[in-house]
Amino acid sequence: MTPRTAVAVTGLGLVTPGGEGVDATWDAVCAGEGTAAPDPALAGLPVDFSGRVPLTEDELDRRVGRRSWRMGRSAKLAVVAAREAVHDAGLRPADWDGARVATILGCGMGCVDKWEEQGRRLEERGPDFVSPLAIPLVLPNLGTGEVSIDLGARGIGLAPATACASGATALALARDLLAAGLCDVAVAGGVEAGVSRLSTTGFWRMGALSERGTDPARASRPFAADRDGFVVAEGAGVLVLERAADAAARGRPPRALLAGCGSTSDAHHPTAPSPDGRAAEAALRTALAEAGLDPLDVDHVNAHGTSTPLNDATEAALIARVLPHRPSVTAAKGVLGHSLGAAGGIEAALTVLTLQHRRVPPIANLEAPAPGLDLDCVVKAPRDQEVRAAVSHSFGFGGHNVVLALTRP
Amino acid sequence: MTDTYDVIRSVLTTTFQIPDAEISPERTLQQLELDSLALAEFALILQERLEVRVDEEHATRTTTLAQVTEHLDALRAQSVATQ
Repeated sequence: MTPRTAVAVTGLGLVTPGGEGVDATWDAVCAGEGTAAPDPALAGLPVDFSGRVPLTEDELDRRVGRRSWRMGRSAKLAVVAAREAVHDAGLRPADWDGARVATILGCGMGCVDKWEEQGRRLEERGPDFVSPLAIPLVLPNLGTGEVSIDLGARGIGLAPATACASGATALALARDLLAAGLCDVAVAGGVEAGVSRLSTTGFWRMGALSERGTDPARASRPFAADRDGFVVAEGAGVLVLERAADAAARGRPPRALLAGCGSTSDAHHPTAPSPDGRAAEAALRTALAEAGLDPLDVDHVNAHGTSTPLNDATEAALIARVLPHRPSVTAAKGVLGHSLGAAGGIEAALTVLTLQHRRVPPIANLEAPAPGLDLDCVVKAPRDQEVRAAVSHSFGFGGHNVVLALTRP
Repeated sequence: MTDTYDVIRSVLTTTFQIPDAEISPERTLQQLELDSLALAEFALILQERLEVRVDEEHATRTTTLAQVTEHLDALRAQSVATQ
């Protein structure tokens, strides 16, 4: 396969349970402590804890400003993270040609909590008490829509939905759009605020969630022997991508390069990963081939690492098989929980920071990987190491596998 | 003297994030940047807060805050009278 033209990552924006902003989130993942906590919105349910962005609705509204009244929480998180990313890239919406700016933000769910609330109003109080905002609040593409409005980004807009891989799918698509010359700047990543009474209970009924309610901050433990499921969370991770030549022409050194992307489908089962991991392996190999990398070149893996028994076992086997030289492995979901459609965007941003700072954050709540998982997991403290090339894995219900290969410029 | 205007002002500053300095009785809803979607949401919130239903023609983009207040006061007086 011919290597693809790398695109430059010139800006990052993060709003996560680790905090507001890139620095706060990076500090939180490097500290390696879980952030999940009891969630009043889930009171009385079998799983009553989650990972929330530490901003109240009022605080978010003040940051977003005059248009916040019509937005669901996911759109608000998207706007805040996108503004940070664009500012970080040294771009000003007042100056750019908005027609050439794409907005590609993956989202798996939409604001289902508001949808449930409106459903209750309909049944309990009647049609006149259903908000005219019911539809805009639940549409999963409204994060993309509100960001495009906020930034005056009038190019192509998409909200790819590949469940827990949505953020990574968005970045892969954005890379393709830049490579095809269909835009000059892409504001891309993932956003999700899908924690609700019904969604949490639904994940619980599937057997996907950790039930460690007595100790929520220690519930998410990717690759641990006693892992028992993921912790549902929310957040937004947005990257600004440009063709490397364009970034160079405006004198903007990239934070990192998105050098290759691999996207495949298991074609196996709606919610269980394919046990042979063949499609996931193909995604990893494609991303590396596009980046012109040999598997042995990979210094670090930012794993999907959900903390579910099945995902982590399949993913560990994939890493050990394709990358037998034991590159360091981290999994941010130990600290941040699983923000579903946002996770791929957030974790791509964290992988960029690992490349920049030559520092791998530890996996929270892990002493050592479970017996049988042949991984070099970073635990307890950040590890400073040379990182020239890293991959970020994302896998989603539906059998979606997306791997991003990122390199130092 | 009722609290109607204060309730309206509070909805505008909190839900709609409109700075208090922009709000005065003679301002129209359009001047406060409320579009048709916003007006529908505004009416629903007022209905919940004041327990009277705003007629659409009394909360249009050209309606002033004083006029909305007057309309709501009339509805509230009526509602008390019929209780």
